[in-house]
Amino acid sequence: MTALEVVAYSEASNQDNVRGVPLSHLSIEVGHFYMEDLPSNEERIRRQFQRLAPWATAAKKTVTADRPRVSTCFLVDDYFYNSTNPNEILRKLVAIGDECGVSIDYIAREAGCCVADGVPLAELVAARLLAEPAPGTNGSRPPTDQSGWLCNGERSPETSTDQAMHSRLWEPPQEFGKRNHSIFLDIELWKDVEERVGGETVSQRTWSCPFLASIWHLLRLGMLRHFGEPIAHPQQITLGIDDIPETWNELPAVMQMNPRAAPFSAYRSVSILPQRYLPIENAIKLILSHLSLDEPVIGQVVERGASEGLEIPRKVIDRISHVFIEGS
Amino acid sequence: MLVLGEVRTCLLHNTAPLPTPLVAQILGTLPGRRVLCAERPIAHAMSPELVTGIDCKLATSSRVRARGIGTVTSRAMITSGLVLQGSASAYLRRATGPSRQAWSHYVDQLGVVEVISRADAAELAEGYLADSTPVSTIDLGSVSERLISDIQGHVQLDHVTSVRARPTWVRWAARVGDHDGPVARVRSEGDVVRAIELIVDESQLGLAARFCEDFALHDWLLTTLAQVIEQTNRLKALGQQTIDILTTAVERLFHVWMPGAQVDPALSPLWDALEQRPGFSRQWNTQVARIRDHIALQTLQAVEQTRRGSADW
Repeated sequence: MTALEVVAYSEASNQDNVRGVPLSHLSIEVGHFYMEDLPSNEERIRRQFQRLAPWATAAKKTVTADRPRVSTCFLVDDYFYNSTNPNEILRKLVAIGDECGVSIDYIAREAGCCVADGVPLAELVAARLLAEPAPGTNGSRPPTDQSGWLCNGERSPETSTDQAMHSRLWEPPQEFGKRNHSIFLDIELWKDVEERVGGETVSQRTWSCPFLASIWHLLRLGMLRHFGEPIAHPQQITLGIDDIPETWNELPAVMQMNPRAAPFSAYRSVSILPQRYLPIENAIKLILSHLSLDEPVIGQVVERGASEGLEIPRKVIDRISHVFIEGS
Repeated sequence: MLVLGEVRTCLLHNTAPLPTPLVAQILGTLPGRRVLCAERPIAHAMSPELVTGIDCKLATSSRVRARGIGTVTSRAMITSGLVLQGSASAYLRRATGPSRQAWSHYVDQLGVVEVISRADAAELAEGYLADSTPVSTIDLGSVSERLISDIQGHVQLDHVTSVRARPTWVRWAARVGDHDGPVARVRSEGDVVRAIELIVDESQLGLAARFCEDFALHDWLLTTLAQVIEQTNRLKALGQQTIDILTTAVERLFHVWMPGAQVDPALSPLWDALEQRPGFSRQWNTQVARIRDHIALQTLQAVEQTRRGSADW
C-alpha cells in the first residue's frame, strides 16, 4: 500500500465519503432481559413478549407509508455475563417470540457495541462526547468533566471534612437547561480498573450498560461510520442450518434471524421495554444529546428521508421513542 | 453574523520533516475520521475537526454586554511535514431568546456560538480583536494551543528542532460588509501577535479560516527566516560556524513559500493586496537573497582557505 492510498486527496471538503446503509421506516426493539434471566425462566420471557405484542402492533401502525418497512430487534446482554449457550438462547428467543406473535428479525450482542468487526466502537463514540460547558467556560481550560462521567449540569462543589468544619454550606448541583428546578443526572460511562496480568499492572476499561446501549441506538438509527464505512453490518444466521458457535463472542455483532426482514437500521426507532429499564434509557437520552455525530451522516439520513417525502429530525434523540410496559 | 478565529503556528518538534503517512497518523485526533492529505502544490495535511463547548462573555468595542453559548471547532494542520498549526474558530449567530437552551440545541449546530446581546457584528469583531489576552471572554487561542501541545507530545516525534523558531498567533474576525471585494486589515502587535479584520461577502465567510491559516503560515515563515538571519549574524560575531543553520533554512523552509496556494480564488484579491503592501513576497525574496549571499560568501571563504592551505604545502 502506498502513502497515497491511505489518505484522501481532496481539498474540497473536510468530509469522508460516507456510504449509506439501507433504512427501514421504523426499528422496534421488542423487550429486554438480563442475560441471567434468559437460560432458565421461559415463562418470564413468554409473559414479557405477550405484554409487549399489542404495543409492537400499535408501533407498526405509526408508519403511514404505502409500503411500510419495519424491522424488529432484540439486544442480548453478553458484555457483562456471557457464560451461556448462544444456540440454546437464540432458539428459545425466536421460538417464544413467534409463539407470542412477536417475530424477531435481528438479534444483536451488547459486546458488539464495544467492538464490532474489529472496530473499537465504544472508543469511537467516546471520542465524540461533547461535554456541556458550565457558564464561564471560555475555552481556556480543557473540559472539566470527570473522566468516565457525564452530567447535565454543574455538580455540587466538593466539600472536604476539614472545610465542612469551617461551616462551608452545601451547595446543590444544578441542571443547566432547567425549568425552574433541577433534575440533575450524573452518569457513569466507563470505569478503569487496574489488573495484574503476568506480573504487570494493566488498566482495563469497562464500559457502562447505558453507554453501550447508546451505541445500540446509534446502530439502529444508522448513525455510525468508520472512515465513512458502515459498521456492524447484519449477518444472516439460519437456525437449524448454520452451525452456531459455543461462545457469544464468535457471533457477529448483529445477526439477521429473518431472511425477509426489512433493513435493520431505520429513520426512527421505538423501544418497548419493561419499566425497570427507564433509568438506563433516560441515561441513554442524555448521552445521545451530548455527542458530536458526523455531520455528513446526519445530512445523508435527512436527505434520504426527504427523497421519500419524510421529514427526519436532525437530532437523534428526536428520532427515538419509548414504550415502558409494566412488570420487570 | 461573523466568524472569529485564532491560528497558532509553530515548528513541529522533530529533527527531520515528517513523511506523509506519519503526519496522517499524528493528526488522527478523532477515531474513525480520515486525515485529509494533499501532496500538491505542497505537502499539506489537516486533522478532523474537534469540538469544544463554551458559555462565556464576549468582548465588544462598545462595552455592550454580550454572552456567547455554543461550540467552537478546532483542527490541526501540518505543512511540508514541518510547520504545525492549530486553528480554532466559531461562527457567531444572534440567539433567538435571552437564555441558554437545552444542550442538544447547540450540539446540533457544531461550530456555532449563539450571541445574546444587542451588539452588532462590527462591535463584536473589534472587541474580539482588541482583546488579545482574554481572561473571561472567548479564548480560541487556548483551544488551538491545546491541540498543538497534544500533537507536539506525540510519541512518534523526537522532540528536537533543527531551527530556532518562535510561535506566532494570528487572531482574526470576518464579517459581512458591503464593499465591492473582500477587504483585509492586518495589524501587528509585537513580534508574535497579528490581528486580521476581514470584511467579505456573505458567501465568503466560510472561506475566511483557510485564508487566515495560509496568511499565518507565511507570516510565520517570514518571521522565522528573519530569526535565522539574526541568529547567523550573532554566531558570526562570535566567530562561530553558521553553515548548518543556513543550509537547514534553505532545505526546509524555502520551498514552503507559496502564498495563496491554499486559498479559494474568491479570496485571492486579499493576497494580491498583501503582495502590494506590505509586499510579503518582496520581503521573503530579500531574506532568501541574504541567506544565499551568506552561503555564497562562506563558500568563497572556504575555497579561499583551502587554496591558501594547499599553497602552504
